[in-house]
Amino acid sequence: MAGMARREFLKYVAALGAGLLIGGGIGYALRKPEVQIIKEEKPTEVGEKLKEKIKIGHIAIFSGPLSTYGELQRRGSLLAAEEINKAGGIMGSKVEIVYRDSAGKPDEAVKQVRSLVEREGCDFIIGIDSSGVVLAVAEVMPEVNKLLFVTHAATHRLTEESIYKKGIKEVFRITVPVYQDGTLAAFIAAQLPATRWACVHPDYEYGYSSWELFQKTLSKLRPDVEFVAEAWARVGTTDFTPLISSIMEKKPNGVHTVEWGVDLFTFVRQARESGLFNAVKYGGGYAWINPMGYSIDAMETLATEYPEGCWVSGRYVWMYPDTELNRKFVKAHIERWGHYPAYSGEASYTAVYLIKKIIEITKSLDIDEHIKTLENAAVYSPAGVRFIRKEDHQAVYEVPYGQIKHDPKYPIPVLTNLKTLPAQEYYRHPPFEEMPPYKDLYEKVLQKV
Amino acid sequence: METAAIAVQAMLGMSMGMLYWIVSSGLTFTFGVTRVLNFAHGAFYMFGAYFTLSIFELTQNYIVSLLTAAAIVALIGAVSERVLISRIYGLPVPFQLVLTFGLVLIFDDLVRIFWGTVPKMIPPQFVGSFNIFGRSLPIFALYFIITGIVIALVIYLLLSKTDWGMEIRALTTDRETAMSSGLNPSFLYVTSFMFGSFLAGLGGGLYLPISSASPAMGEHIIIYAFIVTVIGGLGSIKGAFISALIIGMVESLGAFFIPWMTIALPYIALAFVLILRPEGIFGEK
Amino acid sequence: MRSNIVLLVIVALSLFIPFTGNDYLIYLSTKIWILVLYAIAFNIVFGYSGLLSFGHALFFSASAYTLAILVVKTGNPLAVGFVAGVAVAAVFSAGVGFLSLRHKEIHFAMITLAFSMMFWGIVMKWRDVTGGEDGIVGIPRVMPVIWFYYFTFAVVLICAYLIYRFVKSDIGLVLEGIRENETRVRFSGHSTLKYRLYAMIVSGTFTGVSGGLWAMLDRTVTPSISHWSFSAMPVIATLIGGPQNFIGPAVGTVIYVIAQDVITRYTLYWQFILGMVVVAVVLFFRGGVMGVVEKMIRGR
Repeated sequence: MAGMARREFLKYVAALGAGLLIGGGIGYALRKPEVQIIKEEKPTEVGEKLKEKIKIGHIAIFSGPLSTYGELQRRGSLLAAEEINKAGGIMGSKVEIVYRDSAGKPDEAVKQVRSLVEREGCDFIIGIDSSGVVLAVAEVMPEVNKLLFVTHAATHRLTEESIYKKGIKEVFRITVPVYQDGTLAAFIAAQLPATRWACVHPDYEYGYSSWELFQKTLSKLRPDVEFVAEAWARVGTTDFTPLISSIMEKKPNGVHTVEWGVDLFTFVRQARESGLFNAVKYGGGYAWINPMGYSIDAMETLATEYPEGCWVSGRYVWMYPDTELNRKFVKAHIERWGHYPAYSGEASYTAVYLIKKIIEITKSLDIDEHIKTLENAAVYSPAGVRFIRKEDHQAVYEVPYGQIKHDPKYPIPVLTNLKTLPAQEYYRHPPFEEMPPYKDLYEKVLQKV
Repeated sequence: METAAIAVQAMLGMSMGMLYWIVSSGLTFTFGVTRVLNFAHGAFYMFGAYFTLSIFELTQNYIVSLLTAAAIVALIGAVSERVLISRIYGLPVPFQLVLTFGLVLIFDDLVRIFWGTVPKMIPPQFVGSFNIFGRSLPIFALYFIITGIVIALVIYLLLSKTDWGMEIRALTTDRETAMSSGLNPSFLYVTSFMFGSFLAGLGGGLYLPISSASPAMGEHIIIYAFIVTVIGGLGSIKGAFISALIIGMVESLGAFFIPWMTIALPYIALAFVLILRPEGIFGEK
Repeated sequence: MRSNIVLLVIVALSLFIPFTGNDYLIYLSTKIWILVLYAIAFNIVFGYSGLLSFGHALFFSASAYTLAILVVKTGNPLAVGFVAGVAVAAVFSAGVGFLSLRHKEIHFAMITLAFSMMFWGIVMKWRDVTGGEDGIVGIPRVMPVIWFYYFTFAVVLICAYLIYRFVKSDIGLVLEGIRENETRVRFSGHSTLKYRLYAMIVSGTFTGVSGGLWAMLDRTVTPSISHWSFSAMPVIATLIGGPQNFIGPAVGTVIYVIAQDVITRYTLYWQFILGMVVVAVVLFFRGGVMGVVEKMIRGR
């Protein structure tokens, strides 16, 4: 009996010991990586290397139907990292980008932020495709105490509420927000003869923000216009036809849609088949405004299926502005990847270079120094000069709308008849309580570029 | 709302219903004979779309691609049945469901590995629309309705006029008697699985030109197939036909009148039927 | 006896986690504990009562959303939101149970699926209240990550213990009897419906607890936790771990979450591997991991 009891006891002790050993082992393996300050052999002109590697965590959608978008972003940031490393890195430190999939889900993205910062030791986070996800991620940035550069997600609530009102200063957005999709779109709409506007939008934050701004702005510019129908399509809708026929019932002659990604392809195809484009035809083209229509995936997939004369834009369109920096970037991107750069690719490219810049200027990885350097700074980038506002950390730069044209000289459709406004004039201003007085702006609007 | 608009919307609903019918008929076939509710039926639908896509890239002929793809899916169905499904006959339902769910996970990722994660499209095949009382009805709606009716006729003929069909009916309606009267069950299992998978693949290939092939499309359709099959009565072909049309029209008209509720409508219908008449419209108690 | 050893090892490991100082590991472990409770609660209905529910996401998310709405949208304290959430889960489980438990197997599964997806539909569309597709963001946690880990750990242990007492009680024995041979139990005078309803309510209530914890951990709720695919997770975890064993679901959940986390770091195609595992388990290891362990020990 005693022998048995002792054996039992030993078994327990062994189990406990094993448990502690395993626990300790795992704990040791997963301890926070130390920041190493290496004395390098040949110092760069600007000073000592800060770390062996500067790691940037890049979170985007890499799985599911929208997985192209992760790839579009990756092409930009990886190109930047390769260029920078070839030229000697950031003050001698190599740049490494760690890619993680948000799957378009807020909880997944938040988990990846923590994983990137804690497990991988990333110094910066860039990316985020979805407006729904970015709000959740912004909340976490003060906890992990790293900077986030948003390269795609557009909701104005990020900058107007999370950054300006709540004071989350660790987040910067370097792409145009829904002001492009809602406000500037309304300026374009105001120039078109359409008087009955309908919308088909994705049923989440981005759709709602865009439509709200579009309606508010257009009502002030064109009091004669009516908003006759709305259709909200769940993300991942594969059958738009019932929605299309229900809005066609209200006889619109203009359509505003911020559908993007795969849903957009399906929507455009089914819209053609349902005759929606015919409903919005006018002398100069189609009263069809699709703010993210000039995204590279849409242009490559839909190509000639997207009717000429539709008004589309993006957060960057490769042909604008016609500067040397932009031309160089487009050429390098095509050589590296065989595709024209997408807007989120350009933003990712700029984000990496921006990180390089602020490290070189501040010669540190101190987050407060970086924030101070970025606020009210002007940055040269392929998309133009970006002015980063202090109040809401939003980069201000303009992107034009244009009409689709199928030009056999190019593998994808191009834009003609580019129109835009100086960015400061269509971006909402802090304190964001009132919309700017548009009627005055409308008089001097829309130069041809 | 004008009646013409409602009529057109209903026809749209009927055409989607026909797609649900084509897929669900396959599921009903495989369930009726093997008594296994195959989650992976949606994956077969997905394979149908993807194979149609790839074969189209080679042949540029849609009909050929469609039928060949469906035939390939039938083969995949046969192999799945012999290698895996046959091992779970007689197991409790949860195990069957989970095994076929595991198959879904495998098939989904296989598609991602071979075709990538981004949805792919082929050039539109059903171009144009009819003008009905001033409203447009896309041409694909007509194709779907015609195909659906053809499938219904084919199944009717197969079940009533062929020996194979009669054996299937015997096995579905009165299992014990059928088993003891000398049928070859394995042959019936494999062939019904092949036929069911063929139908699923055909559905996917039909759907491809109006939308796209994507790794998530299987999950999307399988829930509809389950709902249609259960509402119609598990194992009832007639039931599947009727309930598929009902679900299609409910969704379509719902989008017209109560758009905010549309995504929940199929589930509401399911709960409604299950509570009031759990065996389904044509099911037996 | 053997289960006790496994338990002890797990407890020892778990107490250690916060000392690694690795915030991500702490976060992941907290999540694992929450999902363990979810799976154990689920298994009351699945393993012990023999019913496959596809609707547990309803109880989980109803609780999480109730907490989110009460705390973020109307400013109530966390404790109120949490208790209310669990209460809502309990009520829903009673309602769903009442409507669905008369049915068998596939029909039961489909009704639970239907109710769960109806709730999902409401969550997706009622933007003003639930935030729609974007969900609700900004739920406070009121304690630092490490404290929250121990809090969750304690709550989960207590709940697991309560569930253990429940399934080992007379009611639990009747449930297992019903699972094995329903007719016989009914002939001996018990109302099978009543017992199954108890099981459903207990299961749903503790699922609600895990939902509330989830809301506090992630500080965000989104419709994905109401979707039927979230109901599938405890099914797979339980099958991998072993449905006939009390800690089977726990073991299965740990394996599932860790495997997914590890596998995703090497390949995008983790679902392929999970699918293979599921197929293997159903074909060859129907008792799950715990089944294998028990066989090994017995075989000696």
